Amino acid sequence: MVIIRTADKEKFTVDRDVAECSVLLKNLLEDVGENEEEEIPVQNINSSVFRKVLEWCEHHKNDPRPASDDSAAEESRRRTTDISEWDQKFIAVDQEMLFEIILAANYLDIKPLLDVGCKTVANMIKGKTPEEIRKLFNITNDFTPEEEAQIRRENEWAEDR
Amino acid sequence: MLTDLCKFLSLPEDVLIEIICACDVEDVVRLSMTCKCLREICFLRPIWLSLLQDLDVTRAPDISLHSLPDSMPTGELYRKAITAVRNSRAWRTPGALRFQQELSLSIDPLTLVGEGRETEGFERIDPRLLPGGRHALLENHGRLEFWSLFPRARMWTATPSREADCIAFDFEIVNGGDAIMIAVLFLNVETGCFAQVYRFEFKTWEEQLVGQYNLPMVFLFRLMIRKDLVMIHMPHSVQVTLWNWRTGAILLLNFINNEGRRTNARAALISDQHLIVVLHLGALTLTAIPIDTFAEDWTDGYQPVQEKDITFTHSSQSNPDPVPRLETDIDAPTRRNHALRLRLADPPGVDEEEPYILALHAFTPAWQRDLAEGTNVLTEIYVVAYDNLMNKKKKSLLSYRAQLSRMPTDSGSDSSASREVSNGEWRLRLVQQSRAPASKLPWNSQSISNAGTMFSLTDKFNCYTLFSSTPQPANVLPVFPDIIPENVEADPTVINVEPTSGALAVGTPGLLRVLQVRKE
Repeated sequence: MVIIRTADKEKFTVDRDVAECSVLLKNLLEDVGENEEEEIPVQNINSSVFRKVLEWCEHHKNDPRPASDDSAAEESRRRTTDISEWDQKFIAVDQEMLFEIILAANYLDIKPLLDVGCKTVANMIKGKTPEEIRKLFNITNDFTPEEEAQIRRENEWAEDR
Repeated sequence: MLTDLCKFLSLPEDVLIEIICACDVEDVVRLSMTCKCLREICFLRPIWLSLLQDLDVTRAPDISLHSLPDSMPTGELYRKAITAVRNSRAWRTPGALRFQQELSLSIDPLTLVGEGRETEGFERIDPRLLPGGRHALLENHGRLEFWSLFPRARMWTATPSREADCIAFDFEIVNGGDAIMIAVLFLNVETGCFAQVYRFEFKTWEEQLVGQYNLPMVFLFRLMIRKDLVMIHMPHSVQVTLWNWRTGAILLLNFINNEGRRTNARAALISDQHLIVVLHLGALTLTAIPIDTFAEDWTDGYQPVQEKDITFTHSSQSNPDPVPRLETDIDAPTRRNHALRLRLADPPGVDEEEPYILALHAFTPAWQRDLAEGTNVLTEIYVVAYDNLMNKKKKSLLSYRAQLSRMPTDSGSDSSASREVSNGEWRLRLVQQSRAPASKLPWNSQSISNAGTMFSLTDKFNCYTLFSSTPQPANVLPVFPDIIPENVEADPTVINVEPTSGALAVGTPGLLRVLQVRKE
């Protein structure tokens, strides 16, 4: 068991196996060694998000870990656009939480979770018009009308879906 | 504050890139239209490299083996991906396909034909574009010519040592695009046939005859050159000839079915290391035979040539898809050299006939090549057939897509998952198959683009798209004068599609036309 402290000072007691889904925590734990008393701080993550991330790690703790320099695994990871049923349910959260999970997965270096998050966002973008995407993410259109007309003309073909 | 409002844009750039890479090309284009910041990110190089590599084979971009994505500027990556997606949509959307004429080149047969030379039966132009569309090889009334299209110039005419007509040819670009190997088969009705291989340098315009082989009289042949090998095969005939032009060695192959009888090779081609043959062995099958297997069987071309029988036997009565055995393998301790045999269709019913093979095509998708060099090189194989019409009310076009790849070293055989066979070193897998209702059949079509499109000319100009069950042809255009001049009958017309770009070369007597999909 290891103890992890989130940004809002909450402490989590976590199975080593589960924590090691995160490459960052795995490396930190190697430095700490067997000293189980020591708390490991994760500064950028709040407890509500960390709890969610732990839920994912718990479910996936027995998955084979991708080696960091394995380009073949990288390739197959990117090519499959499917998200498993469990992951789909897991990631069915509001946009705020989705981005927090992505940021946490990025910070903790949990590639497969980051991947689930990114694919989920990509699926949200899929098939939407530029205006619909702006609404979705609260993006401000900062093109001048002339620029916008020009861009539209260039990309007319991509508009009909 | 904009960034406070927009959580999406405040994601780290590498995460945004990851998200964008998981989108389709069209989605990325629309995303780039939302704001200046995303417009900038959406045009980053890693995104287009990734989007291009992930393009499905039906959206094959115009990339030949000699211009790989790694070395292309970002703008070109973008253009290739966009064009591929747009073309693919046009092929597949009825009414959306338009062509524009890229080139119209008059080729006068009379200036080439010698005094009193008999040209009857050769009144045609049979063209093939080179990748890039700037050069074409063509058979002009029995002469093989090599043309530069931009600027227009006849660069070379094959002049065999004795009077003969070109009846088949093929080429391969070699040496990183600096040279072209040209194989040509000549016929002289009195003295017989001979095959020749030329090497032509683009920089110096120098040609060199590098190999010649005399063979018995033949008429309708297909020829193919890959590296040191030339394959000579008459579609639907019993024999396939392999000729190594460098050593002069010859290999004559017969295919013996499990009843002990010779069976026709319905179609054949050679890839880098395999002979790929479509046979009917109870059912339609695709067979890939490592050419290494025949190491001991080559004979000197000047000696009486030994024939090599390839026998297919069932390993057990109960297994409907037996592991094929080559005679040479019986004593071999490993199964490495075993041919891979994949059943494509179910055996025909009692009153049905086997499908008729229309075309066979194979290529290595250069745009999907792994950046880590040479790993997992893949050959895509397309087989197109139509159902024999004798007993069928509805015509249909059958298309099969198979992949031949090296086995990953760490994983074992997983042949239960999909229809695939492996021999420990190579794996042959059926990836897609479709049966599409077809109102017309592309009788005179033999070439397929890498994106799976075929063309035929009847009274209309028909475009077929493979691997979908939507009615075919997917697009039908009137034969407008840009395609064929009004005074020419469609019959002596040859259409050839350049596999990478999908550009069409249309040959009518005295005229070559190059057509491109119109980009509005």
